[in-house]
Amino acid sequence: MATPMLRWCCPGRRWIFAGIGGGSRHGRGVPTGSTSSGKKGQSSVAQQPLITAQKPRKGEREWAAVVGLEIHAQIASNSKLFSGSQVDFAAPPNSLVSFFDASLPGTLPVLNRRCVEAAVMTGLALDCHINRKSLFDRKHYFYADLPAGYQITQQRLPIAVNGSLAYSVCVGKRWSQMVTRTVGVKQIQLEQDSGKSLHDNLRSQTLIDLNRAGVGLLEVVLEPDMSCGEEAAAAVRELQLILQALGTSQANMAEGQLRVDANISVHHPGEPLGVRTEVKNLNSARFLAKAIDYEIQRQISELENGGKILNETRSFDYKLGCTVPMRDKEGKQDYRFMPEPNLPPLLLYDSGSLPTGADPQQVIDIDQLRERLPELPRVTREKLVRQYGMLPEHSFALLNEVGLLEFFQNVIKETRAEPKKVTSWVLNTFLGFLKQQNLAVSESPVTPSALAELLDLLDRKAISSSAAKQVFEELWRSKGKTPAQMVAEKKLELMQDAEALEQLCRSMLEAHPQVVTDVKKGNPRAINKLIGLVRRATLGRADPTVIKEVLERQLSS
Amino acid sequence: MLGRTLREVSAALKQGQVSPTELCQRCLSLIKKTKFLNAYITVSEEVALKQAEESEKRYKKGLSLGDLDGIPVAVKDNFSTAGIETTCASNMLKGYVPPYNATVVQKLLDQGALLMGKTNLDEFAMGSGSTDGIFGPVKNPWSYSKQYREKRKQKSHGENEDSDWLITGGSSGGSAAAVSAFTCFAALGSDTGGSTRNPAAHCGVVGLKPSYGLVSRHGLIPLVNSMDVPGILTRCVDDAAIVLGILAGHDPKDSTTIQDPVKPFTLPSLTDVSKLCIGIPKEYLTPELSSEVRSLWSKAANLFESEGAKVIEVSLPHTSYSIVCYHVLCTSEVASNMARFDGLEYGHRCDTDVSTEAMYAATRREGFNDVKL
Repeated sequence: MATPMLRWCCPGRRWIFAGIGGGSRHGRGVPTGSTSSGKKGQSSVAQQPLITAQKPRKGEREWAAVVGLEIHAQIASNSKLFSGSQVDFAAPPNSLVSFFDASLPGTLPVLNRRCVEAAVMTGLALDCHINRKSLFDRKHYFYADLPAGYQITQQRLPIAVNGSLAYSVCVGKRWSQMVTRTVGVKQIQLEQDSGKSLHDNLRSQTLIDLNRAGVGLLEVVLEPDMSCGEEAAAAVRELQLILQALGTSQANMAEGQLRVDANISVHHPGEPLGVRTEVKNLNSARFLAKAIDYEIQRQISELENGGKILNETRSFDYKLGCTVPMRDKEGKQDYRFMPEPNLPPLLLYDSGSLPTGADPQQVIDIDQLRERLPELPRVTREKLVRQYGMLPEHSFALLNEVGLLEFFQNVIKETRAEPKKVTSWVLNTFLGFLKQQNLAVSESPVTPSALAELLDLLDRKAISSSAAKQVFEELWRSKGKTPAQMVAEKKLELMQDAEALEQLCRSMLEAHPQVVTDVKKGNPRAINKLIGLVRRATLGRADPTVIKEVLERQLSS
Repeated sequence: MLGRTLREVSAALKQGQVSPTELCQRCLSLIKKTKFLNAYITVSEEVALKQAEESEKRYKKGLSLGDLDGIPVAVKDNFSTAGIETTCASNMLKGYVPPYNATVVQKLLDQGALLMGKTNLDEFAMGSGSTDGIFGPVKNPWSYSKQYREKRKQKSHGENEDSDWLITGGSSGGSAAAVSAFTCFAALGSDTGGSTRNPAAHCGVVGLKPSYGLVSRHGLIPLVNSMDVPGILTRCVDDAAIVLGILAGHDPKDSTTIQDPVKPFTLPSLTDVSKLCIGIPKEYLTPELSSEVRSLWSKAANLFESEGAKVIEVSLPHTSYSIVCYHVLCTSEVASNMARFDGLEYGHRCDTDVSTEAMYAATRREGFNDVKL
């Protein structure tokens, strides 16, 4: 799409279509069957990109986009959903395949308890109603990576329904303007993952790896309450954090543990919903929002040009940055859903309904699981804000990086510096260095203790903040020395002799009467020259803010 | 010896009157002699003799495993047997050698039974005549009985003897024929809509269909998962009870088996039937019922009544819907269960490699027979 289009998605959730390329309508006349009316004189207006989404220009109609998501999360369990083979991402091909996974005739599914617990915990974390009885079904289609010719899923009565997921998005330009949105969780169901096919076009063959066949998946269906790529990405991100906090899925998109399909349609507000397309297998956090936004724009342009949206399945081409129809999923599939006869209904209990004398190995108590639920990200963030007085967006940033929160908390434990200082150093300096060198927190050369010690020095005013930054950089580069040692070596200690500083400032003022006059005339910034000079005279060992304070005090007296 | 009951043979083995090896060899030789019945698809001679050898060692030490130790049995060819070809009488699984034993097979082997071989059936157990498998039909041993031969002589007027034979019924016809011809003491069949009871009746042996959930289906290549059960074919009711006692019970590998523990039982020897109440379902007295069957049915009812049992009319009101429901469920589940036969992981695969779809289509066309409902 040639024309850059600026839009805010969050405030009014409105899209204003600003025209594609140079002259989509120009010179074409009004297309027949166009949904827009009275557009004849609009071509010149259409050229200008719109900056605000709030007020549509006269005659132009708004578009609203509707986005729903189906998210598949691989359950973190030792063995697969219905068989005892191991779950491991990097194992040699076809080395983790049991007889059942290979669909050998006569083999039967046996439900994995851990997977059921994972589903219940996730349902509880998303405020779902847990169905005390849920059922398993077969979904049939022929594909090489589906050995049995059907997938076992929960179509009729899934394990959890009617929940909600709260997430935060930025409104406005500044990161600090965050609002909380909610998306409904339609249901959570247990189902099998398929194997992997690798298409070898050179030799016209497809290689099948069944290691993944039968791995347990949680399918989380989010209602079409979202309206743009950013909201969808934020919702997915929050779900990822929840799953990771619960331990029910590692939810790593790069390893295929979290896969997202989006259902997207557009319509004019007040009118019925448009035809939706499904964009499948969005496997990258980075491209999730892009792909969804692309599809929204594509649909809008299509409709604006008088075309129709086909109810089809598309995939996102990462290289081209656009969605393309998926050839082998054309036409509607009849999955011939059928109850899975080899699995009786899944019955769950709570402490009130547990049958007496029940073997605890054989039953699942929802209340027990609820008690054992770990702290959810939302609660962790609220606690951080309350306990340390940090801004909400800082709490988000701390949870957004693996291991960062723990690092932060370890520093807090060992330092006397104010939490706000610690927050600032961890999120700005520390994180900055990590990102620059593309390191994970676990790979950091600076330990929490080292940073804590450094912050203590700063807190005691033993060093200036610029000296501290220097030390930090040094810590990052070379190991083995403590901050105190570095300070001593580089003679970075702040001047502690207040009297000497007063003396120095006084003499500096005396030596530069012109500056004194300038300041007194009303140019306070002239003092900076003096500050610089005093600093140099102290060999950088005086804190500029202190110097400024002394000079100003002396000037005013 | 081959005509004795399980308990009698077991006692004979314990007393040393006969050895497992002898028993095994006698059955094997009878199998060879009755080859024309076409009851067996695979005869596992080496396996059986080896098992007999081990059983013999146990008996010598006085450590028999139980009533089935050293007893020749046969298994229908839709049960998975590790290392022994399992074909389901279909081209689709010709040459398929499973890597595991079905639970019921394992239970028999754990009791020391000798596996004589895999018996013939209708393809994938779909049929009621044992005539539709790729290895040809099974012939009812009673086709060669004196009575039938006389009847045939009267009718045929010199027609080819070979073509005039009786079916065994199905689909566990091979198992029924194997038991009926004395080539083994017990055989496993499977029963979905009568596939054990039907051939048992045709071949004059006892056919037991256990209640669904009592016996594990793990390893039974399924036709209709919600109806299949492993069936037991023997020459007397007591023998069937012994085998059921061994096979019944919860199997963690089969989630549809009941959890309650199964207590071993012995059938009481019933001499006093006065406490029995026998129901005759009226819906089964259909106009299509043959007069011969109806008279036999009455005869049995009268027999019980004359001995003091209470014989009353009962109603099974949903009978008329049963066939229709059966057909709907059967066709759905069969289609589903057959979906896995695509030639990719095991079994027959065609030569086409144009595309996956083409391969699926050709493999399934070549592997499957026509469905005869």
